[in-house]
Amino acid sequence: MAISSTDRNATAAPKRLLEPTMLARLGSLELVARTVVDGVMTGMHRSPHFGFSQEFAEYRAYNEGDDLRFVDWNVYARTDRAYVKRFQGETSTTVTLLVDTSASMGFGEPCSKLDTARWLAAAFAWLTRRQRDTLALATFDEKLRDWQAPSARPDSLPRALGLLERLEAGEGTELVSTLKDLRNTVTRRGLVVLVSDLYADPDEVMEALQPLAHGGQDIAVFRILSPQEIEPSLKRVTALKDLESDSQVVVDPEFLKSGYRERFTAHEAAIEQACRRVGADHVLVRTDEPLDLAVQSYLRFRERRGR
Amino acid sequence: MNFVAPLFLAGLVALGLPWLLHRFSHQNPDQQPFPSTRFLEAVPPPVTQRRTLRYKTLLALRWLLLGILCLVFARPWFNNDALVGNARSLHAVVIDRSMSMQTGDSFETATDMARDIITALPADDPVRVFAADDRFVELTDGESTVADARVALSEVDAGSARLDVGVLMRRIDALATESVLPVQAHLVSDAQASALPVRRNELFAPSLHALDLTIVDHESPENARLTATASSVDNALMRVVVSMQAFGPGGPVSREFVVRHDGDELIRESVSLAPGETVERIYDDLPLPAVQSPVLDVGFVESDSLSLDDSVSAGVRLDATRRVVVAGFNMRIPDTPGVFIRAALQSGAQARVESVASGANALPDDARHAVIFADPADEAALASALRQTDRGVNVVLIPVPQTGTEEHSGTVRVGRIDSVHPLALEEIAWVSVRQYAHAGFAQRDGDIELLTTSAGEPVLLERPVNSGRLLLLNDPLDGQYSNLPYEPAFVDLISRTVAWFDATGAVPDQVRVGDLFALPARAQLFDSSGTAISGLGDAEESVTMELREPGMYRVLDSRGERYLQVVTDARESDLQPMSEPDVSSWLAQHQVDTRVDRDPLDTDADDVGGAVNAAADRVATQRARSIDRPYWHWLLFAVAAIALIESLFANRRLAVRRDGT
Repeated sequence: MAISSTDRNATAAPKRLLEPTMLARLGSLELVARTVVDGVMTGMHRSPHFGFSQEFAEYRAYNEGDDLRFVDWNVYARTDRAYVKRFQGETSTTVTLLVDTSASMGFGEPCSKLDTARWLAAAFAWLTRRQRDTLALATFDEKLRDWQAPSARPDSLPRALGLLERLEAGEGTELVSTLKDLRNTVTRRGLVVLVSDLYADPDEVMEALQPLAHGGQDIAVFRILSPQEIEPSLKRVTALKDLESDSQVVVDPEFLKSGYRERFTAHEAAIEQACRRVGADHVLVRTDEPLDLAVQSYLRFRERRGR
Repeated sequence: MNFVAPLFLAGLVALGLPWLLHRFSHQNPDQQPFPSTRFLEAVPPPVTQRRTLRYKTLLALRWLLLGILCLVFARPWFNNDALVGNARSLHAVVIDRSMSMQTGDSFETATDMARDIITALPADDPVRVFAADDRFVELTDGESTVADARVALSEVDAGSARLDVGVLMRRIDALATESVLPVQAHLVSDAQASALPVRRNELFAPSLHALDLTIVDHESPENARLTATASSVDNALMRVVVSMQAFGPGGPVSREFVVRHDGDELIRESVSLAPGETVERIYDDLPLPAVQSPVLDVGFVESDSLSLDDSVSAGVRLDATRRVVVAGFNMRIPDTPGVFIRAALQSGAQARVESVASGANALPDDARHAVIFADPADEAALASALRQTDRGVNVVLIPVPQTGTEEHSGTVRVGRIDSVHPLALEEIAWVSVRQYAHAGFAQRDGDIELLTTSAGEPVLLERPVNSGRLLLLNDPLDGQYSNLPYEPAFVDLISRTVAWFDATGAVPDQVRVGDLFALPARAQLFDSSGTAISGLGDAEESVTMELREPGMYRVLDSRGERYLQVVTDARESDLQPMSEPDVSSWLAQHQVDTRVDRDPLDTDADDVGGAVNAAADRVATQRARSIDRPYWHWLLFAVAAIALIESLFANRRLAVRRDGT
């Protein structure tokens, strides 16, 4: 789901503690994650979205083999029948966070795309553990760099945050092969959250995401972009050096105002289209904007998926 | 136009540098990281009209900057030679008509040369002909044709005055300044060394475009000069003083001179004259010829090439003691002051004192100088003194105070002295003069304070009057008010006062040709032939005159008959030419074209040419030195650095495309 500028303005919350520049000053990634999540949750009313938290769902007659801990003994005392309480959050979900650490993610000032990706992934991890879901984390550039296997243990969050803390921009991007490797690893159905700038061909993106979607994964793509690459502006002829390939192109400022934006917009639309075709959510995250929108999008995404 | 440092013009080659920068220089743009170049395209920037204008403007400015820099460093100046023969020029032909040009046939030769010069001038160029001595007289009527200029030359003769080349060049420069056309001066002169100005930079006429000097050589630079004066103090015997001087590069020369009166030979003597040495012969106790106003003829027996300074006429000056009348106004002459004033007047026999017992109201008609004692409070006394001055009497008024004195708290000294008054009071020793009390005449508007005390009280005042002189000496001269009568300064003051009185209205005994002098009112002036130059009807008041011809002139006025001797300037008798370095340095400043009327085989002419070259070398050296100053180089580097920085900076800031499209 792409967020247009109109949407952004309409949903813009009062500035709280989620400004990127402020988050950059917090230092601790755990603090950043809690700040982001608490900030979003505080701003919401009681959630009408049934099933997200561990709220009561229904009673079911006790069957043999059911866990006795979930028997409602009060009901049994009044009715002399055993019922078991069912909760929406009872169903454990595996959330796999895929964070792109390619060289291009190091771009952007004052907060780079990698910083934004780091904060976003930390917030998602925090939310996941808050739900007591299983958390998995992978970082990649040309290949899979780090892999934290799915775990519901309490230490999965600090390990994930520690891994995110140490992230550094790497080299190029190989989305297809990386996700192909992951496809063999991520076997449990769950949620896959991809955080990347997606500088790849739309077909490749679709090719990379399709096996995951076919494997029953619900996919959310958070595309991190810097305003300097969305609307670059130069005052004079400048040589722009590709962070991943080291190639250099001398660009006329006039071209950036016309040709580049045209191509960029087309690519953006193609990426969004590719995501839509594989059933993935697509969210554009600008590094100069608060993370509220991205977190709220994530919550809606989970709500829709009913997990 | 020429250049002092033409090598800097080589910098004009750098004009191609901006074009190369713009045309062939590769872009070296800023480098910036970018996440992905997949959407970029190396499209050359489009050439817009704005960029084209920037490009062309910047290129033009750089060309202009480089061009100006090269021109400034090359230091352009106008070459006089470049104008010769080009377009129209005003030719000023100046012929030296000073006394030295009367030597032999020098002036005729100079006239012929000037005529040749005029003939060779472009026919379309206007010509003006001038004759120069102490005057700068135009012979033509404004800008004339060559033919008119040649005619004008035939109407001029050599004079008797002196030529100062510095003054001449200033006048030529003034002429060049006023002229619309570039002026080329053609000077024909004997180039006397004595004609050089003391300050040699006066030889340079900055507005003049070219100077063409033609030097007339005298047959022989050796010359002797003679002057003589005669005087008598007793109307019986006379003193004759003969002064002689020789000039020239050689050794001593022998000359015989003779003094005659009315054809009778009084003295004949031979002398040996060394160049540069003045020989004076004084003959006392010669019997004064028994005629009224005798005139002696003194001269060398044999004249040299310049005969004008070989003989003079000397009128015998009959010295008479000045007569000063001392009187009191409505009072008798005070005893003590009278003694002091008489003693001062008679000191050195400078004046003959005549006391008038009848008082100042009855001064003799022939009295010319008077010392009058008067009560300062008596206005009638002042009115009487003014009446005396109206009839030409020079008066000193001395106060005789009738009332109490105004004593100072202490003695005061002489404070301020008028140093520009002819009395030359600053030369008098006033150091020991003290005033104890002040008494004197009331000061009026217009009075000139010649001497004041340190307390500001006037001691000596001059009151301007129509005729004669009126001095107010605010000191009773009795020794009670001041010590002035006891001091030598008093005698000096009285002596100077009498001399100044006597000089008033007097005609000098001797003046030089062209010198200005004052001819008194109602005086007549006659030349040596008896022709009246200034008659009685011509001058009711004193007039300033100058006489252009040497000789003995006669002055008739109320004092009787006197002689005025007009002599030539001794510097004109020195015929030695300027030294070659002097000529060279003079001419080199004007990029000269020099011709010398010497034998072509004469190697001296080559010397002059060599000297000119040497002078040109000196000028070049001076110019080179002027640009060798260290700051000049630093300035060059600074400007070059600025140009380089500009090239690097402006291209980037203005986004100038350098491919020339």
